Parts: sequence; structure tokens; C-alpha cells
Amino acid sequence: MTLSLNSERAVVALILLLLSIALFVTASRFPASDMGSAFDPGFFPRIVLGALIALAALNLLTDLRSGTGWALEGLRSVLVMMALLVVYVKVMPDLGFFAASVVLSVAFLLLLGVRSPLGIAVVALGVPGALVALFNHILTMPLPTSPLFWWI
Amino acid sequence: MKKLKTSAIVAAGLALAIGGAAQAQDFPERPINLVVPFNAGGGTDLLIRGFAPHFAEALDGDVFVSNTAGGGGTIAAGALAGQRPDGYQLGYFSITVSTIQPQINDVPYGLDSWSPICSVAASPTVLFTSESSPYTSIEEAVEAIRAAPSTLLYGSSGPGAITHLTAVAAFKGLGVIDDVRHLPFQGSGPALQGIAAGTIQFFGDTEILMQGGGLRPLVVFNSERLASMRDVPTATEIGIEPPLNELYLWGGFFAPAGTPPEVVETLSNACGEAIASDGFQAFAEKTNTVLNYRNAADFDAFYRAQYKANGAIIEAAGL
Amino acid sequence: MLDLLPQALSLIFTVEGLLVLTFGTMLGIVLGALPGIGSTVAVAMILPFTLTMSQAPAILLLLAIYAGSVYGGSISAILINTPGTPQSAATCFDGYPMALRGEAGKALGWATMASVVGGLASSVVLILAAPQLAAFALNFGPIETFALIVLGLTCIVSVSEGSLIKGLIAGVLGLFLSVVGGDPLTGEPRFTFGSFQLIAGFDLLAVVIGVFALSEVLLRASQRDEANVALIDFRGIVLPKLGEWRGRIGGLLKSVAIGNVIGIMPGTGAATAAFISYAEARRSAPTRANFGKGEPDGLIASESANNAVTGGALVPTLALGIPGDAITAVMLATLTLHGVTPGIRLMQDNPILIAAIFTGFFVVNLMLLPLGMLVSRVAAPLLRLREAYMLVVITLLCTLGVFFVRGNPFDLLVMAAAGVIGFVLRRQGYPMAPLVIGMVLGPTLEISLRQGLIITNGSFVQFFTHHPIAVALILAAAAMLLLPLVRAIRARQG
Repeated sequence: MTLSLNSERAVVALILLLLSIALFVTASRFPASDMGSAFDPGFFPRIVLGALIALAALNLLTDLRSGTGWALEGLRSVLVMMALLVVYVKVMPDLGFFAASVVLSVAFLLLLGVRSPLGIAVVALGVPGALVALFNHILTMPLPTSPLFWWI
Repeated sequence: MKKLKTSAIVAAGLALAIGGAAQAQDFPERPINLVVPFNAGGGTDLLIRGFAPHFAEALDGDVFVSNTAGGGGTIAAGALAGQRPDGYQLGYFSITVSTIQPQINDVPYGLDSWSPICSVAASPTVLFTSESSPYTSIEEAVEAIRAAPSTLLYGSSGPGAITHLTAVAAFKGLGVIDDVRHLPFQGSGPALQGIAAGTIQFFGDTEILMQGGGLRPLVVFNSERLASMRDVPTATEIGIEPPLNELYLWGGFFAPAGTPPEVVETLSNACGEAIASDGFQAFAEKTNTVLNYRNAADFDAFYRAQYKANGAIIEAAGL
Repeated sequence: MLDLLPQALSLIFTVEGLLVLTFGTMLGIVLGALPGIGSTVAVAMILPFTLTMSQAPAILLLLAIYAGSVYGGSISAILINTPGTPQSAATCFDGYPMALRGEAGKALGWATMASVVGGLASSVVLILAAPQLAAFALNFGPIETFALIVLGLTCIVSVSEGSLIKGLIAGVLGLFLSVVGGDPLTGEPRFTFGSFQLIAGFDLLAVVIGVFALSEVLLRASQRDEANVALIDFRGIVLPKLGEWRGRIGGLLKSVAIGNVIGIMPGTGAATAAFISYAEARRSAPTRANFGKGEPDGLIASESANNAVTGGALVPTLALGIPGDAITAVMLATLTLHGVTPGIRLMQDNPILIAAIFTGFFVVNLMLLPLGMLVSRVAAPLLRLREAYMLVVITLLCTLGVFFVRGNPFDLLVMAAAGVIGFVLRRQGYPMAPLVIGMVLGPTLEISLRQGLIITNGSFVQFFTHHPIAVALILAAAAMLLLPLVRAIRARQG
């Protein structure tokens, strides 16, 4: 039985263990309450994180033995999608739902291998447009709008 | 088809945007957003949704309500504090959101973040016990607390909430704060169940709670006795000293600081008109809301005075 | 209550009454199916319109929206793995695998039937025993609630696909996520690392939508080989045949009972009921080996329980004037607006109105069946888009839904992060269902434990010596954990 850290599975398990230890240390620094331990802000988190450390350690042991290496094919476009997603949710409240969604939709569709210009145009303009029309104008529960036009 | 529709909307909107350059005398030229700092469906949400149509009529414009919840109202206030001060976004903030939270939590707004617009409602708070409890008066309750220190509990809907502060004002004012214990709940519903089941003995809130039945009022934090409970003493009568003797759950509209004075005035006047309207008066009567209109200048002074006065109660609550 | 039925029916069977019931149920289904809108937003949205209506229709409209939206949540859970409301999270476990297998119509058929039965049964219970049940609910203090939540947590074990350790890690991670933010007892910020936004904590739905739906979008994008086929093949609801019910009735009734009982406890809610019911079915159903792979019994357990809660939740609301959740709070507010005082005297003072509410609730549940079929027939063509388009639509709907939950842009960031982390964890075989269960149950677990300790002055032993209901619940939890073990050992020996 060999132990190897050279697999995606084992690395994830190691990160989980380190994270839970770091969080436990944070929780142990919470100010104690003078009204008894049940009033301590850290009381419940310490129970939870203690359990998490124990489980994460066991899990790491298992995964060090049974790692299946790395399977990174097909991940490149997903990584780009993740980055786009984060940028999208970050700028959407300022740019407005419609503008940001059109850009995101076009990018996602291209990354997903769609090449039909008509399909891209209909979905990328039509879906955000229909949602804005429905929520902002029919239901009057507005989504974020662009700084230029209050109605879209 | 969809493309066609979108471009038509874009064209129409362009015309609108160019036609209406921002001018104060044209205010409002687009819909005004009233921000409720809690989830849809709560008491505050209901009040503002009832208020919105009358406000829209008084302004001769469009008004819509949106909800931004979380952090006991501070998330909404924190987000609004940084917005453009153009008067198109107003938050409805209560005593706790505007004067308590900034003093006990690290929130990105404070005393000077706002242009107060108008106050809408203010209800005096009342300390209750269960109707089935043995205490028929506040004196009997205090006696029982002294007789068995640290056994009786008062509930609240959360730390720093008005329900918490009411009980603190009562027990601190009567000198027994160290002999009763605090049991916070997640909201008023579970706390009310707690008092019905006998888990807690005391709970403070506004008089509206009386309607539900099952509760007995002990003391009123008002300048005079309430018409609905003539035989319940005020806090001053039982010897609670200022500033703990009066506590109101009030709320009003705030715009981000720096809103142009003429816009503030337009909004403040429309607010007064809406509150005075027959429709909203009827709504308030049905919901037992105690209306209390102050215009922008009065509300600003009141808000600043409250901010300072509530420091004492915060200290007493140990927050 | 039954003697008032004729008067109650005359209030409901008016043109206005039937109109609001039909329209409300339909609107509720549509709004519930949109991720993030959910029951509370749906009910609050419609509230202003009820102001101009008379008493009975106003309440009936809200009831219709309520029941319709709880059912509607199951549609998006099954078809796009996105629970429209947290209470539909357990519906994803078996509903989505069925849909992927090409049985979307059937999955919705089972969900519809289970919802209808659950809702109808709970309205019967409501009509027959509301006052008695309300009195029973008062026996539930923090310590009993704590025990109930512990029972709920045992279902983490049963939904842990593959590796038990990884399931438990996900569950405990969920518990941890629920403690981030202001301490519910002291207000002290925890794990906020100086971020003001985090004081409000992670929004449950933002995390749920992230780890279920967005991570699914990313996973599908990473393993794209059949890009041009539709994600799911859905052509409308296919109701289960009578013969297919064989062996499933017992489980259905048990789930309905669980939903009803949990519904009447204020502050526990439909998501808890769905999880406990799912776990119990997974422990006891003859088909348990197929759970999580698209087993109708799993769908039935979750959907019948969460709809049974709707009736249960009305018990404390109407009998005691204590709202069990945000939705019933809106209903109380509506009653107040129409001059009816909620509280312990509500049922004595307004017997006919209450009878009409209960009966109307029964009718609404009856209407879920035809209206559910109608709505999904109309929506079906939209759902047969090819996969790439569907993934984009799902991403936009997720964003929209999370934005509407609290209107807080920070939640969008949480959703995106949850999607990325969910993607990484799911690739390594960590199941996401336990994480959601931990996050749903975490806040109540913590606050009830700490409240219990405050009441008993820090004595955990008193939880067991003075609270028989709590002891019974804890024993049930132990049985949930131990019985499968015992059975496995026996099987090995035999």
C-alpha cells in the first residue's frame, strides 16, 4: 500500500484538512462570554470544526491510498467559464442584468461549441431581454439596470 | 421576432433617455425605489407596500418596493449608504437599523450617512408577561425576580432588536438586570411560542402584540398611559429614570447623505401628503400602525437626538 | 368544524372564489418553478392585490399561491436540478437522475401525485384536529427542537453516495457554513474576517443553487461529448399508472404523517420535513438500494412531506396566532388587514372564515393536478432546447433567482464561489446533498442546543432526564443510524 499525494483527490483532501485546522484556530480565538459557555460565540463552531478535522484527517488517509491521478482533459474551457462567471456576478449589479447577461451568454455559447450565429443571437439577446421585460416591466420587481438607461 | 422587439425597446428608450435630462424641477422623472431592509412579507414590508401607492400618487410618479434582507437590516442600509444621492432610492429604516446597529456593529454607515426624509410610524413599546403567569403587575414581577435571582428569563427576537432593548430598559431601569437572564430567539414567532409554552416569562414589543391574546402588559414605555390599556403604568410612574423611560419603535425614510435639498423637500412633502391621505390612514387603522409624520428637518433633529439617547440603552444591554 | 362545511363552501364556490383559486394556483406554480422566487416572494408579490378584495377571496388567493409555489419548486428541481425553494432540495436527489434517464415526465407525474396526496391529507388533518395539534405544538421547547434536528441530521448518512466519510465531511461543512456571520445569541461576528457583508451570513439559496445547479453547468461543460442533444427529453407530465403504486402506499402515508407533524412545529419548516422523510424512506423502503439514482419512492417521500407541511404550518398560525414561517406571517398580516384579529381567539371568533380557509386549502390541493399538467405542457417545448443553450439559460435563471432572494449583490458572488467549489468537490466524489442538509439544519441546531443549555443552566444531562419527547426523538435518531448497520452485519453473517 503506497501513499501518494500526487493526485487531484489527495490534494483536495489535504486542502480540506488544512482549511478546517485554520478555521478551528480562528474559532478558538473568539472572545469568551461571561454568561456561561452556551453564550460563547465559539461554543458551537468549535464542536463542528473539531468533528470536521477528525473527518478530514481520516479522509486524507483514505485518499492518499486511493488517489487516481489527474484527469484534466476538457478543463480549459471550464476554467475560462469559471473566471467569466465570477467577473459576471461582480459587474452585473453595476452594468445591469441585460448588458452583462448578453456578453456572458455569447461567451458561454462560444465556449460550449455553438457556432450558429442565429442561435447565439436569439438565445443571448432573447433570454435576457425576455427576463428583463418580465421582471422589470411586467412584475415591477426590477433586476439591476444599466447606468445609462433605467429601464433596461 | 424577439430581436425585433428588443430593438424597438432600445429605440424607444433612447428617445426617453435623451428627452429627459436630469433637472430637479422635473423630479421624479423615473420610478422611485423604496428599499425594505427585510425579507418580503414582514411587518415593515407590509407597511411600505401599503404606503407605496399613496406615495406614488402624492409624487405624481412611479414607486416600486424592493427587498434587501440580511444582517437585521444593516445589509440594505450599508448598500444604500454608498449610492448616488439622487433621491431615487430611499430606505425605510427603523430605530434599530439607523441608531442602534451602527453603534454596536462594524457597519459601513453611521450618523452622518443620511439625508433623513420623513418619519412614518412610531409605536411605544410594552413589556409583557404571559396571561397565565402569576405576576399581575410589574411590582410582583420584580419581587419574584429578586426572590429567585437568575431563574426567570426574558426572551427577544435577537440581540440588539427592539424586543431585547425593551426588556433591558425595564429591568435595568428597575435595577434587576443582573437577576434575570436573556434567551434570544430567531425572530418573534418562536419567542411568542416560548412565552405561550412558559419557556420565557417576559417579552417586550409594541402594543400590537396584545391583539393576539394570551399576553398581559406590565409597563408601557410611553410619555403617558395608552388608551388601549388604561390601568398599565408608564415606565416613569414606576420609577424608571430617563433615558430608559421612553422607547418607541419608530421608522422613516432615509436617502443617502448629499441628496439635493429641493429633492429632499419634494420627497418629504409627498411623504406627508401620502401619510395624510384617507387611503393610507385607513390602512394604518386596519394594521394598528401608529402613524407619526415628521418632515425632513424635524426628522433630522429627532434622529440625531435618538442616536445619542440610545447609547445609554445599548450600554445597559451590554452590547 | 364539519358542521360549518355548507357555509364554508358557499364562500368558496362563488365566481370570484373559483377565479382566484384557479389563477392563484397557476401563478403559484409558475413562480415556484422559477429558481429563487419561491413561496415567500410569490406571496408577498401578490399581497398588494389582495388589499382591494374581500376577506375570503383574499385569503384563498394567498393559500393558492402558497400551495402552488411549493409544488412548483419541484418542477425546476426535477428538470434542471435547481431547487426553486430549499424545501425542494430533496426532490433533486431522485428527480433529476430520473429526468436525465429520459423519464422527466414520469418523475413530474410522481411528484405531482405525491404533492396532491400530501396536501390533501394535511388539509384533512387541519379540518379535523387543528386546535388539538396546536396545543401539542406548545410542548415543543428548544430541547425537543434540538432532538428533532438531530433526527434530521441522521439523513446525512443516508444520502451519502459512495463514500460515507466524504458525505459526513460535506454535512459538517454545511453546518459550518451556517455559523458564519453574526452569532444569533450575542451578535458577535464569526468567521467574517472583517467583511461587513459576511455578518449576514451565507444565504442558503445562494449556496444551494451554486452547488447544485451551477456546478452541474460546469460539470456538463467539462464532459461535453453529446453537445447537440437536448439535456432532457420532456413532453409533459406522465401520471403513474395505478399498478405502479403497488408497494409505495405505505411509504407515502408515512411521509405525509412526517410532513404534518413537523409542519406544526414553529421554526422547523418544510425543508427539514422533506429531508427527514427522505431519510426514513431510504432506511425502510424496499427499493432503498436505488435511492439517489432516480427512484420514484425517493421523490414521493420528499414531495409528499413538503406539501404536507403547508397544512401543518397553518395550525399554529390559525390556532395560536403564531406564524410558523415567513409565508404564514404574510397570511396573518392579510387577515389583520381585512379586520380579522389573529390570535388564540381567531377560531372561536371567525369559525366560518376558518372553515372556508381549510376547505379552500383542500380545493387548492385538488387543483394542483390539472393545473400542474397544464403549466408543464405549455413549458415543455422551452425545456427541449439543446444542451449548450439550456446551460446558458440555467446560468441566467440561477443569477436572477439568487438576486431576488435578498436583493444582495454579494449573494451572487457566494453563488459563483459555491458553483466553483461544488464543481471541484463533486469531481472528487463529495456528495452535495449532505452539505445542503447541514446548512438547512445548522442554525436551528445551534440555537436550540444553546437555548437548551441556557434553560438548564449548562446541564446537558437534563436534556434527557426531564424531556421525554426529546428522549424519544434521540432514540429514533439512534435507530436510524444503527438499523442499517445491524442489517448489513446480519446480511454478511447470513
